[in-house]
Amino acid sequence: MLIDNYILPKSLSEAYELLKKNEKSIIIAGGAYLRLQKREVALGIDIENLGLDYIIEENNQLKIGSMTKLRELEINKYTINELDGVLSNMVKQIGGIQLRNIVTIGGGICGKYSFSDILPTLAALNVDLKFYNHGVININDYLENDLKRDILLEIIIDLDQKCVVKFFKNTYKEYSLINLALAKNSKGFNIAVGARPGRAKVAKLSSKILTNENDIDNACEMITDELVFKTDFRASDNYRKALVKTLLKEAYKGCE
Amino acid sequence: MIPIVLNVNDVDYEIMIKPGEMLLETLRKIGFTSVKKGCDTGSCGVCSILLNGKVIPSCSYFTSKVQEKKVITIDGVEQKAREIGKFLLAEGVDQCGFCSPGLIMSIIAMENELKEFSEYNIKHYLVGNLCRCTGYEGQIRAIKKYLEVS
Repeated sequence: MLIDNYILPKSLSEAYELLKKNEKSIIIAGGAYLRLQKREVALGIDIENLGLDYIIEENNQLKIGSMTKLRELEINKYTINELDGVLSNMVKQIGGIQLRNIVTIGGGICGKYSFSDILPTLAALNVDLKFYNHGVININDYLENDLKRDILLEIIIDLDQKCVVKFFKNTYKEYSLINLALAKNSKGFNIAVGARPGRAKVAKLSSKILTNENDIDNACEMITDELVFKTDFRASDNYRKALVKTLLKEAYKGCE
Repeated sequence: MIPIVLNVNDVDYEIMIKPGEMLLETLRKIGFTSVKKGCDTGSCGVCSILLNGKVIPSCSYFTSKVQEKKVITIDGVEQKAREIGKFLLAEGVDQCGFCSPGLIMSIIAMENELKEFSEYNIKHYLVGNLCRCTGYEGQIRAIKKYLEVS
């Protein structure tokens, strides 16, 4: 990536004004994945120093600042102890510790990366995202729609849930060939699948079958019909379809 | 070009950088060639340095972010590096040596951060350090001996 100008604003309002005024500007979080993109931007607005690096528990919710590093998510007492440690587990095999000391949860969300190991879990948990200008938006609405020119401030997670994440990798720290998260709350189950390849998506029909009929075999059949699985250099569509059923069964066992 | 003050191994460097320049490039430009360039995608660990005590891949970190932070390269921990290096040498896993500075920086970060050094903990912490000469068994033996873990 070529960056013509690089600024570290001192306040969120300054960052947002710069973003609004400059059409060819971009928000920089950790920057590790962003720099690999082949593009030129007129202005990089780095939000490193704006106090968005925190994890707090409040009113049975976890509030995570968008600049929180993945390594912090891995070792923080709240992410380890709440939600059966799923927020820690989802990041444990993303690259090495070096990379996780840089990569942020906000960058991972706003990049909407198709290989993301964090998006299925956040989608299944149905988390809310708080933006500077647009306010609170549900993550699944955000993943399906184009919301641009804004700054993600915080991820808000309801703690009255159970959640399990499963992924299949060729090696310990490799990108997932497929990943799946299953959440269970008072309304029922929520299944999200990522790296199909394609950004994480909630399997609504399969989730409904699991909630209403509690029939895991039927949900496994439905999930391969409901979501699109494709072939890429990592795996074939059929391989992914076979894997996703196993991951769903394993996650279901963990969620019971 | 942007003027910045970069603190490396407790010395301030007043330098000019390109907007969007990565820390690895800056460090090598000012003479820290002990920081190696490998994959340049944050995957292999050879460019690892300590930033405020945390190990990061310098190839994937914008230099502009480093202002008012402290960078430590292997040159800044020479005595410790020599000590760890002796254990790597004893197991014959220095070989081409290209990954050694990054691995040693990661071992130092691990030693500072972890409380328990089980084999799983060591492998989990160091999995981001690739070595293309060996099969990692020698490194694990060396690191365990260094940490006095059997």
